[in-house]
Amino acid sequence: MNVKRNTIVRTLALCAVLLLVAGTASAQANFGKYVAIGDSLTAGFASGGLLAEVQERSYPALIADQAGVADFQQPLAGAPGIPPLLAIQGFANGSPIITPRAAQPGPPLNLTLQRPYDNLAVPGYDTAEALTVVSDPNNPLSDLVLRGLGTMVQQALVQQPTFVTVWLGNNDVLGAATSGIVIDGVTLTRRGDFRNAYRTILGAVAQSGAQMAVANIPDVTALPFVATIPPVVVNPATSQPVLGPNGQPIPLIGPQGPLGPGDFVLLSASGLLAQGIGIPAAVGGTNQPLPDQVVLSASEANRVRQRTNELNAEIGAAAGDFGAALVDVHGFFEEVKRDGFPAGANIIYTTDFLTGGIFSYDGVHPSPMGYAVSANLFIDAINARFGDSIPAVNLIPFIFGPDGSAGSTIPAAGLGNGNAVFSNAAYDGLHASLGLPPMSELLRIRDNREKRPDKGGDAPRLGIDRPKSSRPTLSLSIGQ
Amino acid sequence: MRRSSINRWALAFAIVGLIVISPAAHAAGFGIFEQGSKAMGMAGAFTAQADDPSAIFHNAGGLAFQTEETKISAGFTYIRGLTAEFEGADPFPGEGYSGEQETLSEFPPHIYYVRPISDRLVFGLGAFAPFGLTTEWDEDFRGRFISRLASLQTLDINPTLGYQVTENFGIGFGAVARLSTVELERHVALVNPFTLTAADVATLRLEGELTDNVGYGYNLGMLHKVNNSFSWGLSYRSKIEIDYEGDASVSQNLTGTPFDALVGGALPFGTTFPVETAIEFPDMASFGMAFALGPNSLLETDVNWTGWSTFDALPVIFPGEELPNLNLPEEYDDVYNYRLGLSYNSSPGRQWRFGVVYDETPQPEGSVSPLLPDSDRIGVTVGYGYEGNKWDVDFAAMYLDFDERTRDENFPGDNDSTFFGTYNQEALLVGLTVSR
Repeated sequence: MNVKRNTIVRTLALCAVLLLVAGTASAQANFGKYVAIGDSLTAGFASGGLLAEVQERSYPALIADQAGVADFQQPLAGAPGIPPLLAIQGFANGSPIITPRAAQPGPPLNLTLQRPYDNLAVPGYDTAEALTVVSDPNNPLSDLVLRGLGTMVQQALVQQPTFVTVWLGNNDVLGAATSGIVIDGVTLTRRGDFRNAYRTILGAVAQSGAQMAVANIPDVTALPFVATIPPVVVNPATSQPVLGPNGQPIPLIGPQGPLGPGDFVLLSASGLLAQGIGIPAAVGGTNQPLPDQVVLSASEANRVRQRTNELNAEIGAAAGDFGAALVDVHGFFEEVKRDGFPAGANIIYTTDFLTGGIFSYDGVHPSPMGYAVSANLFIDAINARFGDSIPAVNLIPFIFGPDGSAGSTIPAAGLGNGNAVFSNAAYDGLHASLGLPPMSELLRIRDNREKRPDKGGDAPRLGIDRPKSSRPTLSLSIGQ
Repeated sequence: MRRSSINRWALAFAIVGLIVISPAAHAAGFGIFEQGSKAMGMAGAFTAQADDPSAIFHNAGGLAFQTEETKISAGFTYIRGLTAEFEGADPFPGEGYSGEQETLSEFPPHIYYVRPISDRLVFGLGAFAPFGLTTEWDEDFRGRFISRLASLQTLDINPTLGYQVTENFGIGFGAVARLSTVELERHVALVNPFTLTAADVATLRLEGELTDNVGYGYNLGMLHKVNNSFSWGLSYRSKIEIDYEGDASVSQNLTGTPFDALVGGALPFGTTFPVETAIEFPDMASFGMAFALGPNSLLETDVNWTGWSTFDALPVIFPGEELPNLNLPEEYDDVYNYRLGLSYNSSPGRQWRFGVVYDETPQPEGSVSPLLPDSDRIGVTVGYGYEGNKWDVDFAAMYLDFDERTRDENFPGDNDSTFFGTYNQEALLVGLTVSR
């Protein structure tokens, strides 16, 4: 009898312990101290700049709101933005002209915060830079965010976070797509280099005891900046291809001759096309070829996609190994590209430039709506991984305004159909924010590379370092 | 005297024929079963009685026994919405959002003419509105991009013959011409590139005229008066397909930004262009049994089946390709409803009636939307009949309580037009029929 009772008591005790353990294992996400690391997408960069009213709706700020974080600090930028935000500022021949709203950037608004920011994302940083670069002379935004207080990862860990979101890797492939210059190890990070840097970051965060959500990389060749302009001559009045004598569309002229159907003409070509560059003389153009840096050839695009897939494989594996929630931005973006994003009640957002609503005026970064949707992707993944029930961001104010508003100045001039013209000034600001070296530098590297042909892939290494910044050796000092 | 009164009725008949509209759905789906106030008082449990001119609708077999005199019967059912509310849910249109339909207040009429030809053969002509629907939301309702206004009206012209096969067994059959109008209005949302938010840029209206859209079918019925205390009846009304042709128009809703000029060039504003749609109305079968409970009271139970699976989609076709075609999936199911009616003669020529009906909705969750939010409902009825020397008057009232209907899921093929929330409706119906 006693034995039996003891057995029962022991069984009950064991059950209680098991329940406790189970309870611990399914603990909710702990947002006691939340820190975000990443690049421009995490910073809330939109329409070519940082601006407080958009940053306040960055996806980390929205997650913080939803998770009940009381004090989420970001490196806010005052109007008209740093750099000044782009807007549809006028029309030429019926095409909207996209230019910066002002010549001078606005002031930093939160520079004197007496601790590291909670959103430490630096526009333009790739994964290795997040780990190693305190200050990048080519990237004014690095000092705005990091303020000489340490690397992004150092400043994140010194705050002893309980939850960290990581969305890195975009700039390990994005520069190749938006510059049209695909150079392995320069505009495309090699897989092994990415793996080392990425796993170092996730390992350090995991070791700190913080929970994590990590996002992967969308197909950057589907961004409006890359995918908007077709490689054929288009009649700006009708937006339809001009047909040649054989009834077929007339290809634009690229650096290697007529473009093929898989080639991409970047938004940065729009100013040149407006001058007739890239357009055959037979249909009123100059017969001059478009330069390499505004064309992403089909084979270049394939290399970018292939590398993106490789890096996403690394992200997925690392997420599994370090227990992070994985946010499948790549998969989601594929769906939206195919079907659009049904916001509700027959209101459909798409990935189209200007009329799609998900992307801002720079054609690379999301609109406020796009960021709100991203926040919900994170929240879904966090809830699934950690058994939490953080409420989704309410999209209604983003759909019907005011939260979704791009804040554009609206000229009174009339307009007709046509392709947007992306001004050179607009592109210059965007280019710097992507963390790319000046185009002249990039072209010099490319020309050197072409004299010593690269077979692609991880090997052979040609010993050309990225010229942006020196890479200090890895030394993480996590302050107590 | 008699002749002139009939002419007056004939005139009324003709006028009603032009204006009869049945704008409210009050049998599940968009059927209306209230086509005579006597039957309505017993919640429509009337298939095994069918002893007034509304037999043309309820059971043509009952017409066979109306051999005594020429009779005219006319009335209406006043349908008043008491509640028609929507409570939103996340993600769209959002928790805390609510909407309300315009208060429904309509008078679908019914009119019947019955004339014995011999002591076994009876001719009848009926006009009534067995289907109808009006769902109208506020102009700023967040579901207006799915539907702002949906209105369907029908008018059946139904000549019928009843024939007494034996003294206690009657059959009937008739032909049905169904006229119908349909009206749909929805708003169109596009992303305004100047604000990157959704803008309400246009209103699309589709209208079909009553006289242009006709479909044909038939009705059958039989009534067996087994003995003084038991009868049964069977009634069938066929399905009818109507191909609608109408006019479409689009009007622009201004945003006050240069986007207006872009939209103005992209949509066919300021013109009217053809539109086509088609609806296959369901067939209906009813089986009823009536039992005399005593010399002064009678109980009837009915089961109705409606073949709603005919309503599988609402296509909207623009033959001139001015706009892309739409196909709204509906995917309705066949359903049953159950009716119980009781009558009690309080004195000669005075009858009280009571009834209850349980009506299943044919609508799957995937097509619950602002276009037509339907649900199961229970109705309770009370009625009173008075037989005078010259006039018979029947009165009925029905309180109809709809189950809450919640849409909180998207289904494949429903266009992903997420609009989540709960619909709640109740209605009061009052019927009045006068016969002589």
